[in-house]
Amino acid sequence: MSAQENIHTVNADYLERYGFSDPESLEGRAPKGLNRDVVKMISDYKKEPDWMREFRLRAYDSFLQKPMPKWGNQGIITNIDFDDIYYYIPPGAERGRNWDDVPENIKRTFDKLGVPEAERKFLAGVSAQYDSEVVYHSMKEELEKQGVIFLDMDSGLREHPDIVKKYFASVIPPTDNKFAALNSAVWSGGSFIYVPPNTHVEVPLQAYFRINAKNMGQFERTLIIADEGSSVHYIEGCTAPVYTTDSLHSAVVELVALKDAKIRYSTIQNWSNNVLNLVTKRAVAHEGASVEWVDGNIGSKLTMKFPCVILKGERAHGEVLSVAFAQDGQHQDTGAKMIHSAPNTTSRVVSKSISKGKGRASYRGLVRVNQGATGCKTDVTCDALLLDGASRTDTYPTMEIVEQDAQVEHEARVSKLADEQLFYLECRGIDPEKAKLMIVNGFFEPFTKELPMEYAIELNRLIALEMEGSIG
Amino acid sequence: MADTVKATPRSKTVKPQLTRAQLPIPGKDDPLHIARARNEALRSYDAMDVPTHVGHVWKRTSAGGFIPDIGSVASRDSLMVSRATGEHNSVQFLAGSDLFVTLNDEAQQKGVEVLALTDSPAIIGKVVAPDRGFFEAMNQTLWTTGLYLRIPAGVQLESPINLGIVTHCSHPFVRLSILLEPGASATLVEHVTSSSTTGRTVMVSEVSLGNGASLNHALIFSTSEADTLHYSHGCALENGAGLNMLATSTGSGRVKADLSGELIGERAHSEIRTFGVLQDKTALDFHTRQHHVAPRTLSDMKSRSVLLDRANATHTGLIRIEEAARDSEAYQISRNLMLSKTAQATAIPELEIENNDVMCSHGAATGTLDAMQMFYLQSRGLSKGAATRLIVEGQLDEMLQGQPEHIRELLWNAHADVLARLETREE
Repeated sequence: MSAQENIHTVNADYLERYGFSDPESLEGRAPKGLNRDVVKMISDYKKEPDWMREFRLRAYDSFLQKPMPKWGNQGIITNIDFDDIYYYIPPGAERGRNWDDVPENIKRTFDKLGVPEAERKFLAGVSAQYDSEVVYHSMKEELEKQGVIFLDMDSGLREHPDIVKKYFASVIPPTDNKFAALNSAVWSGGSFIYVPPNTHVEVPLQAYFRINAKNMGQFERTLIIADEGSSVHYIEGCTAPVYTTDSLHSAVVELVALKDAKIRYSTIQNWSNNVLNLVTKRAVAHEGASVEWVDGNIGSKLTMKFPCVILKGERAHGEVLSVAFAQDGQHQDTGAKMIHSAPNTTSRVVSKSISKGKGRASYRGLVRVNQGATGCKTDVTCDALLLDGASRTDTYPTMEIVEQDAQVEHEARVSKLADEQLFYLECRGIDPEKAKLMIVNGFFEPFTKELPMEYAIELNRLIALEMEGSIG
Repeated sequence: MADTVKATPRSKTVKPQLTRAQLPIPGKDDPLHIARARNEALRSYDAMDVPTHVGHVWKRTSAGGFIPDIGSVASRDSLMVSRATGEHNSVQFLAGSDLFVTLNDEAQQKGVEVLALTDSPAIIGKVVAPDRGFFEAMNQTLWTTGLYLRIPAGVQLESPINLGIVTHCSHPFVRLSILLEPGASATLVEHVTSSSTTGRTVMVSEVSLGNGASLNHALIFSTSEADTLHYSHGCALENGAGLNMLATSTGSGRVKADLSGELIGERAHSEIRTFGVLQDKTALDFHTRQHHVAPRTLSDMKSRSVLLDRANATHTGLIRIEEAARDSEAYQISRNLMLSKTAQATAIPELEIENNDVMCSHGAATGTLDAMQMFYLQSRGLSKGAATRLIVEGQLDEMLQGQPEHIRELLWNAHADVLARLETREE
């Protein structure tokens, strides 16, 4: 594996590659804290239609009403100070149509992230979020010819108000939970994708997100609609600069797969270790549609993310494939939800997690088979690998079955790095650190092989970085 | 509309207020160690609220329905203890009034001791602590009637002890303390039934197994339809001790049972199995806990439910392995067989693992009859009903593997009616 050849050189430039930040040059940001005026100000600044402004204000009310979750890592989430967060920072730059128009300091940031190369290679469109606003956006002409809409959410609202109004918050209403309500009130940026009927987007659509202002919350909102018989693969990757105070990231992602459509949504999350990543992701799969979440969680201090698929139409299929890597001081609280509401729907969840040092990885999931959803099949597998004596792993799956004719299976295993495997590799002259890395990469392989090659390599490098110094 | 949606109000259960004045007078009604245990429990109780659906153990069952009416609790009567000699060991315990103890020659010679709990040494709350939960704290504060059973060190009791407990609405708080001293071994068949008066019962059962002790514990709930039973069990296992437990419900009352193996000694091992064929509107909510505290401990848990009619089965199974419990193994499997469109099953297997030197797995499966198995049996001339019965019998047989003959027989008899119904029922 080529990634293993140069592990050490890869890690050497981590600070250079991922730990950078440009000096903040932010004009016209909203004051810290949240109230009705801030919500109105965001809406006014974006010159939004009235219905969206009303929507934000209603969501703000539900945010106040909703209680904090009473489960999960209470020690962290109950300490979030909602008044110590900037809810909106407009970018210092105008939106650029092509790369030359993007301001120099932002370009530098993306250079370090490797965006231009990525684009040169095989990316169809880049929608890179810099602070709250999408500053750069390009799309290959081919996509435009197909009629595919790939915009940031704000432009989407401006240019395609009908589609947005029809689907926005149709999957995740603002009353869903406290963080979804918060996002609905102050959302900014994110991606909007519409794929017309029977259109197949061959190349993955891609966006990079970054948090760059101190104490800056990011509340992006993504909405993807795949019309009948279409297919699309969307990739979202994150890296964030190293900062010392907590940053809240609370996105809402809604996917709508209409009849026989196919959506795959891939994420690699590598927030720096002070970010709280509390995300609501949900999809609706109509008749014969298929939705796959491919989800990698490497960074952040606390991630709470439970991608959900509501299998609403007959023969719909949902899949979640997720990996989590919990380092010292990290809590990866991830999982999946599958709601079977129609006959002959199928779903599969594969979750893999690694805990290292005092890291904690949790799987929290729900499989629900509603009455009338006959002939459903669902299978959940969780594997956890513990690298150190102090590591911790939890599994909290829930299965609620209200239908006789369903087949539901769940399986979980916990293990440590097998001494026999290490011994075998070391016998063949592989040093212990590389041997461990090989085993870990092998453990994650079912996930990695689902990613585009570029991402797979990046993920392997990130794991190599996380694994550094794990011998001893 | 978003701004008009309110949090769905669940009927909030009011927590009954307890004061020290309601407790028996220390030194007069109660020995001092019991009075101390009550006070400790009262402090825990004051700090607690009625469990809500948010707490995962109460996700599918409402706690309010299990709280007895405290106003109706009778004052503590002295327990009438009658003793006799007989062929079999039998302890009949009518909550609040009588304790009939019949011991055979073997048990008498070997010094098996059965007492009213008020006459026992200070062991209350040592295994099931009052801070374990709301009902545990309530019971330890208010219990009026209890039983103490002790098997002396080194005694290998060949003949089983049949323990029959009959609940009574005016004595809702019942306690059991069972102690096997080091090296002892015994078989206990515990049968909880309802008396003609209906009510809500909150039981706590504390079991201590000394070094190398071994207990075979069959637990059968047959409460009647209008009754509720909250049964909280804890078994502490010291070095090398072993627990083999089988819990089943053959009644139609609502039961919430909390079964826990606390592996506090090295090389202790526990095996817990639960089985139930649930009919009508029976609701059975099992919470099991395999808690590994000491190194080199082993636990295994198997749960099977067969659901008919409008039955509701919940199994929450926790495996918790502490950091010190290295080199431990823990396994769990939970299965539900759905035979009705209106039944409901919930499985919540959980793992909390705090060290990496463990072997641990859990699995859960819910489904209906396997079409291949049914086809095979029907192609050999069995009716659909007979084939169903045979498959369920196979599952019961699997759960009874390794049990002594008389427990097997007892449970086959206890399930005879429902098995016969499987063969004739209309879908």
